[in-house]
Amino acid sequence: MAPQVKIDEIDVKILNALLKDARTNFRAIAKDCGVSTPAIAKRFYKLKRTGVITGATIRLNRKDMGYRCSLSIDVTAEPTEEINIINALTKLPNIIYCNQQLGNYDIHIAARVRTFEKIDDIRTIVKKLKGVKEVRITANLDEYDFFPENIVIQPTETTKNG
Amino acid sequence: MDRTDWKIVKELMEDARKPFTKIAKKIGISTQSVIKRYNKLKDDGTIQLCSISLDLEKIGYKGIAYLLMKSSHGSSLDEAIVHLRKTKNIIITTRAIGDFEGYAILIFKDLTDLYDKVSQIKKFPNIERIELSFSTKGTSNFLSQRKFKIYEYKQNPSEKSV
Repeated sequence: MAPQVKIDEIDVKILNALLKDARTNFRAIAKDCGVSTPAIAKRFYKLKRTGVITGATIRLNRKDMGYRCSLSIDVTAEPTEEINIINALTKLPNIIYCNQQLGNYDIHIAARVRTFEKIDDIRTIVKKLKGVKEVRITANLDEYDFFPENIVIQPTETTKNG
Repeated sequence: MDRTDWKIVKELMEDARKPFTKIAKKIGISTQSVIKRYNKLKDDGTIQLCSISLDLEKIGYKGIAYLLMKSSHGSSLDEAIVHLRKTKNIIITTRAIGDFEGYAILIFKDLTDLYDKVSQIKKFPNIERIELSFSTKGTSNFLSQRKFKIYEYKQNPSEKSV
């Protein structure tokens, strides 16, 4: 498990600003934090280097993407095949997320399909994988999109210098 | 959205922080028109969000919980979903069809944190039962760039390809 990286209040401000809008310029953040623009840039690259920030991307309106339906799928599987199933599913383009889980089912999958008819295709693909025992599909009505504003980032240390 | 818009969108999906000058150079239009097009796409809601991806583990989140919610007989979870959207650490929530009527993803720091959050959610209107499962490994790439890359442009049939 990746250990938590040390971040202070200024780092938190940078992360929050960029979560809201990844294109926020460093000057605006610097002004807000009361430090210099190069200091913000330096911190940004450090956050990238330490792997806190893994990238920046845009999200389109789902209608424009052509996706109509998102699904959450729970799977029970033979314990020995779990990893193979996850590896196989992760490669599929429709699968957004796939991981082991603790609970009634063994694997949790988030998928996205273009049409409702495709739900059945996904189910068939998952069912056919070796070691899959039971598949439960829940269709989601709203967009499977995350709300960055709900992520709470807490500093692990106090700011020493700008 | 036309082909030029799509080219801009594709660049931004790779890296939402890519300078407009670079994008302009790559697709062969002026920086001014890239900015103009970007602003238009943002204003009309085609680009819903422009955000950074974080490694959740590195900001102290040790796990992701999946919540499937069932409403009490004859009631709806619509109101609860509105509450969930505003709840800290709920990063995804949607209405659902299937065995459950609501679905949410919660990030948590430890089991006490998870317990507190779930207790809070249980008090939301009309939630009768929550099926909870969670992952504590492999969660760091949950919001990673790679997972968003599956967004692919499928050409609008009405649009002629060049």
